[in-house]
Amino acid sequence: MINFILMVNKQGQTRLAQYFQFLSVKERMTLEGELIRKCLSRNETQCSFLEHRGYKIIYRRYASLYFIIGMDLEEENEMAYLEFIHNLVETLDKYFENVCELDIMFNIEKAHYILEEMVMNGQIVETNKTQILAPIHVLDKAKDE
Amino acid sequence: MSSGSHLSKELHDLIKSIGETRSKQEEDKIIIKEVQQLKTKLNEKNMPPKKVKEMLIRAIYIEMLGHDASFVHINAIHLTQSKNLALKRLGYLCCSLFLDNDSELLILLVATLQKDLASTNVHVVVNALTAVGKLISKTFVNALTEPVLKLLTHNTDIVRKKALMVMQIIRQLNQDCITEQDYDDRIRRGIQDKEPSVMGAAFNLYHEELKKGAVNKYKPLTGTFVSMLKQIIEHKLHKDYDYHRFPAPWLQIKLLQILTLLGANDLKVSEQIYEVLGSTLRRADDTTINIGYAVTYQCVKCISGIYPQQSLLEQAANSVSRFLKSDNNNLKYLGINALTQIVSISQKYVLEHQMTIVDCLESNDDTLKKETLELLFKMTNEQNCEVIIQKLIHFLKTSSDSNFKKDLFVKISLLNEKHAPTQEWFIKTANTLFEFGSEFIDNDVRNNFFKLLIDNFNDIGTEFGVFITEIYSDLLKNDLQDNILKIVCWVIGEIGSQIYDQDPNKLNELTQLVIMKLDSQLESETTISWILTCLAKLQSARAFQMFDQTRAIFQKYMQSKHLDCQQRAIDFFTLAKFNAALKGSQFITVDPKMSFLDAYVQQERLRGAQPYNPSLQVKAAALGSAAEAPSLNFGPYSDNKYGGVKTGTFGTEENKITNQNSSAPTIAGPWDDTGYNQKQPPAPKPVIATPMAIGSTTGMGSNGSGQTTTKTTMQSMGSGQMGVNANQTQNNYIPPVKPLPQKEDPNLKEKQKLANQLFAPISQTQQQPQQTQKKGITAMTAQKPMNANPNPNANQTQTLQQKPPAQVLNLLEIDDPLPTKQPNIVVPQVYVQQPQIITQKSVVPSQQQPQQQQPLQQQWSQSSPVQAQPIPQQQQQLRSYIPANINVDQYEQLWERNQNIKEVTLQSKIKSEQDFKRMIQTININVIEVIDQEIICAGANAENKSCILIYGCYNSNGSLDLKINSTDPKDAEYILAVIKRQFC
Repeated sequence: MINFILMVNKQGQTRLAQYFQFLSVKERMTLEGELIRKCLSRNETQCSFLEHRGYKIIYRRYASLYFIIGMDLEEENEMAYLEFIHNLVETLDKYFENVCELDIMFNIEKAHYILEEMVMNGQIVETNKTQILAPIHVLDKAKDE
Repeated sequence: MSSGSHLSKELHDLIKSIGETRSKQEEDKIIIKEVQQLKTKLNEKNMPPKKVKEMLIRAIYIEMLGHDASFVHINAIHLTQSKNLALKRLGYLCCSLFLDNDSELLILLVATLQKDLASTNVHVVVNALTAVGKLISKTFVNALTEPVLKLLTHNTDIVRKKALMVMQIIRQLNQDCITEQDYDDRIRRGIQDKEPSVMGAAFNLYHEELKKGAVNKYKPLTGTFVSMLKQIIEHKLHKDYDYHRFPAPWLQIKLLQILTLLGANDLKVSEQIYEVLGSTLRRADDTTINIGYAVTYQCVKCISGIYPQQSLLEQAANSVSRFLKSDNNNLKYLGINALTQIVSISQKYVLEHQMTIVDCLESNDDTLKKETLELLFKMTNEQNCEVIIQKLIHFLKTSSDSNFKKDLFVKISLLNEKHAPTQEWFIKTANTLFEFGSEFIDNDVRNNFFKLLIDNFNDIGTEFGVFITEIYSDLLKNDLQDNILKIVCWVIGEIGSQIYDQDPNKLNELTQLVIMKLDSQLESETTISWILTCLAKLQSARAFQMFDQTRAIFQKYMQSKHLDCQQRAIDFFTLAKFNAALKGSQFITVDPKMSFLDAYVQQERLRGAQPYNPSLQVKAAALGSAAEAPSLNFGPYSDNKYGGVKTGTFGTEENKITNQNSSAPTIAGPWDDTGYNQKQPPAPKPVIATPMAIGSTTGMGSNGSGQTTTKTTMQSMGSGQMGVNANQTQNNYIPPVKPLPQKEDPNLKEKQKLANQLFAPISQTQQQPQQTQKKGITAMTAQKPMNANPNPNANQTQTLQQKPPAQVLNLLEIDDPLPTKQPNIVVPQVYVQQPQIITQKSVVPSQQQPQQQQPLQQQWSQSSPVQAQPIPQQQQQLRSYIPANINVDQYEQLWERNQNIKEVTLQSKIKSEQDFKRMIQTININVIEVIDQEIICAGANAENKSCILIYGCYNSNGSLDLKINSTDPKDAEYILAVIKRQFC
């Protein structure tokens, strides 16, 4: 299962973190720090997968933002998760229109909602963008009322 | 949208300033200030909702950036009660981000969640379900089960989808909330849902169940999954599910994972999958996008996971080639991993990619390198093992990642034990390995290694002993790490002292070398204990002369502050006195069988005394302890389900009892802190033996086979326990019992079996990473001639395996048409009719039973692995078998009906479920159920359809219990012969 999904920028600042198994604030900080250092130490030609602290890590970089997924070691299809990251980014892009780091910062709760629609209980439940965004649009309307 | 104009200026500025920080310190400063501000603001009354909302968003930032905002948690809970949908969802989000599942605050949420789940507003329900999925915990799972299950039939798809996922968590948290039947029904309705998104969610639930092992239960659904996959690849789903014009890739992948588990080792299920798998792979292969590669990769995994099929394998190998030839490391990574999968079926596909693999090994990409090493590990055989181990050792030397090194260490030792070409090579490799991986040497590693050495020493004898003693005494001349020194001490003490028992010069030389080590820099006091133990063992040799020196040393360490050291020194010092005294006297001949008592025993026997039977004691002990502590007997072994022997998974209490009473070669027996103590020194004369026996440190007992006291004394006198119960053992001297007849003890097997069954679960957990352990270097001598000796019959059975699928006989399923050969099927009463259908002979009449049971004792000795039994003439003719598709109940019924049971315990190559299944495949029958190490299988003779049932219990140490229940006893004989030939 997916244990966590992170968005961390090149400076090592976390922009979004969702954990599917509880870790204390301290543990999260250490883990995130180590992970971004590891990701930064790898170059473009190296593959996007690694192992860290008993997690299988899959990461993908968009401009200065790293999307990082941590999963159980026995999860088998790394490429599927790498593309899942891309699907997530496309969904964010569809919602925010030309998404950038600041969008996520100013609308952090929305980004969380989108993730919540896509992943439940550490498993991918929805990859259809229309379905993912439908409940989010409902929330936007509710706010306007 | 990135302007953030919807936010208040305060929050906007905060986020902006966080965004602009360039260092962690700067960020911390802002956040600490923010925490203080927030704390004061919280006290304001009647805050407008928008303000509350922003406060929580600020709290999200505070916690995300590593600070504590627990003072806001309660506000998050309050917000969940808001009437505004957006505020409510934010409240839930914050709860799930902030709160641990054990948090006491969660109790406050239960009522709100219950209310929201029952709401008539669909959006409220969706919010609540999302929250329940993240927040539910064991304490209140019961309170939410009912409302969630109700939502499974809601008329909005998103509600059904989420309810399914929540149901999965509920089941994980508490099995009692939903019965298995109910759960199955509900997920079945899930995959039948008209909305693909609900269906897709249900796949997750199936996959989870299958991973947990409930494979047989869902096999009938294979067809459903196959047709779903077919529809997906044919673009039957709405376009919205496409990703880069590729139809629902993640659903395809999930389905492929499900099908892999369903089809594993099952030809019949696999046959349903082949076609759709082929077309899925073709379509995925046609694309040149990442997601296509992901599906291709999953197809390859599926092809190598289910029952192999040649053309698909070729197709898979082609795809793998494309991956490997790519310049993109991600694809190479997939390629290497896929190749690792395929290699387990056929090694030939590796050949083409030799150079790529070598390149990957040299790659600057650590991840790729690791995966390649994994591949190397999988493809090691006798021929390439030297090269591969060298390569692995090179990485062990150079790597700095300790997890990786540990993994390498385990792998190298496994490969070394399995494939080392010569003993010399084995020992040298082991030493190099220990040198560079000394931090990974723990008791398990050491004990395994000692056991291998001792086994080989016992098998090969003096030559091997001299050889390793030489190597290790040479090592002593160098500076050694403590971990290695311990090993060296053990070898010298245990083996050296036996080899040079009569050679005073050599003994002196060894002793001096060991004593020198006491003066070197040692890392810990325990190493001294090892050295002292080694000296004590040496001084028990007959020709030992350096009593003055050793006594002085023991005397010195009697003052040691290290308790273990001190105790050992005191013990050994005492022993040294007796040993020296004994050496002074002439050699004493010892009669370990105590034949002087024969007359007495004879006399008593004539008077009607019971003959001594050690197995009775063992049984009594096992039974007695089982009765004493019934609570220790867990799980599925309790009922004698498959006609198998009772296999209790007993706790430690039983171990102790059987250890003390049994002579069976138990693993736990002779182990202690200082390793494996199996030395069997010359037996002393009983009368003065009390101190002498301890003097030899490993207790007494002769080399004679069938000697029942051997392990008993060793157990109580193992040097490692000296520290604690030396006094006790001195009083506990157990005189040797009357020897059994020299002939192999018929009960020995049974004891061995009992011990195996008792200790298997324990030894397995202790030595898990090295399951194939025992094969070791002993195996390599025994194995080779076997491989060299081509066996025509083996080839025959190989071809049988590839029988066309039409031959698969469905023994008991009503719906399936039986082969035309059997016209006399009467459908309604399947169970009653069965034996006739499959046997064509009547069920074995009950009079035959006593005949069968009579030669039971002979059977034991016949089946002994030691005496390779020539295969009787009539068995040489080939028999072929076909799988039988029956369920466990039917299996049991058939088992009861048939009484021709052939029961054996073999020392085999079967050490895992995989091995066992391979064996079963070779015979071409099929596996019905697997529970831990017990497997039941069924099949039928291809010609006369007589039924064959096999119950097997394998063990990681290679001991294999088999019960073959066949209508025709010759089938059992034949199968047994095949198994012995190919798998023992």
